[in-house]
Amino acid sequence: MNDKDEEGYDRIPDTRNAVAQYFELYSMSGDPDDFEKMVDFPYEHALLTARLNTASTKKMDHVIDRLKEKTKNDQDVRLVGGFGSILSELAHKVVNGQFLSLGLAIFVVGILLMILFRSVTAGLISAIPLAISITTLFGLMGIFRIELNVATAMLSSIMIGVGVDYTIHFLWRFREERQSGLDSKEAVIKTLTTTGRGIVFNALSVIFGFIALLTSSFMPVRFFGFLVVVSITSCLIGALILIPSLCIVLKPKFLEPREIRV
Amino acid sequence: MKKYKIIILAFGTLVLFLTAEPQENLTAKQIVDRSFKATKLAGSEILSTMTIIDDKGRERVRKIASVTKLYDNGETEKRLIRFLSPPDVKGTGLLTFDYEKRDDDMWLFMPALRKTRRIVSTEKAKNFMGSEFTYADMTPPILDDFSYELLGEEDVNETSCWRIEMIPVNEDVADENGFSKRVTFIAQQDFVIRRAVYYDLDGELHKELSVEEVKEVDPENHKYRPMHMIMVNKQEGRKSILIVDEIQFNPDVKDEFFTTRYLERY
Repeated sequence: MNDKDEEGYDRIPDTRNAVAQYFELYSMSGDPDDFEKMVDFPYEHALLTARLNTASTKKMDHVIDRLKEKTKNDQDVRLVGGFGSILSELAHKVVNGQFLSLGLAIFVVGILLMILFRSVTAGLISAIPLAISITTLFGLMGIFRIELNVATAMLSSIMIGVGVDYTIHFLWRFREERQSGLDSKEAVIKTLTTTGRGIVFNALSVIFGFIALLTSSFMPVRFFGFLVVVSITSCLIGALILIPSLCIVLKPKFLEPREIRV
Repeated sequence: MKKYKIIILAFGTLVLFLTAEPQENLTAKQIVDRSFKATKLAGSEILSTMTIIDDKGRERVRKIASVTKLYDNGETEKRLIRFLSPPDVKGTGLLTFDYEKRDDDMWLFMPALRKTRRIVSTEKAKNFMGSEFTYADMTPPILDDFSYELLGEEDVNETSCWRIEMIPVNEDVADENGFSKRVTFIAQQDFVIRRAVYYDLDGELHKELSVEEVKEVDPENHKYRPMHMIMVNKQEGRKSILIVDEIQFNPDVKDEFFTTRYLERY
């Protein structure tokens, strides 16, 4: 069984008795706990280990599902599991949790803006640049085949927190300018040349800060840096181009100067 | 009157001394030597049950039949062990030539494969059949391998015993036997071990042997055998029990039992 030249090398003996007798042979010169991690004490359940040479959760899932399928009606199989199973379960949880936390983040930010500007439209408008940058983010991840893992999954939530700042800054100043009597176009120009500069500097410092991560030799960190840079840029574009355009075209009510009724 | 008292006392002590059992004056080494000899049977046929219990209380029970016989003026003991149950190992046989002065010869026969394997064992500290008993526990060790000290007297299960400490003379002997110290309780009435406490190579408490029952198997030569032995591993929480169900003294056991040819005849 263990010698290369021997008949039956590298094979499990054919009969139950032969297996039991080999165990007995071993126990004549081995330690009692040698097999502790491989088989239980009454020799009823063994641990069979297989090595999956892939890190893809998709392939792992496939193997695990096939195994479970095959052993479904086998009374002797107690459990199919292991590190691969944990890993794939973790990935599923992260991805599913991702959608939930994203939705929740947008929802909460929207509510906050609605309260801030006392308007439902304010919430909806400010959600638009966020939605676009989220789309950009996941789109790019798809194109570059960047894995959605624990680190990259946190990104979108961070991005929502950072990205919404620019929109709030812009809207706040824009409303002030409108109230001080400027029309929409003039107010946009005024806001972009004042608060807009601040927003750009803010965004650039964040972007350059995260560019440093691109020099990392550890791939997940490099991906993280890349994605932060891309998503902050898209938030900036959203806040400085998309939002002003919407303000001019739609002329939302909450930004209009309040008429003092006499 | 005072003088008389002293004389009577001295005389009384002398009488007590003389009438006491003659082994009173034995040295620790002599006691151990006699204890080794007390269990050497010229030949025997035994049916026994080995129960191996793990730390979670799960059991493995093996019934075995064995024959033993002494050769070379008692220097070599040959043993043939045959498994009777469980069914999947039934017929498995172990033939041992236990030499006093060199490594044992061992062969294991596996009936399902019709194959005999030689087991190379230089270490007596190895566990026998996956139990807590080691090969060293099965046969008396070499007397001169240890230094002995009589620590005192103590009762074990109402049997008065000598408490003797055995320490291997060097590290090789310690490695071979698997302990750095053994405190043995030897009964004064029959020289059979009643209790033994083993300390591992780091000096920590390791195992404890208790002998619950002793039988005089060969009354003519005053030879005894323990009938019920329990070995508890204090570190791992495992336990093994060896019970002799039946034992027959027989110095005329057939020599052909102790051959690999007979081992394979099953």
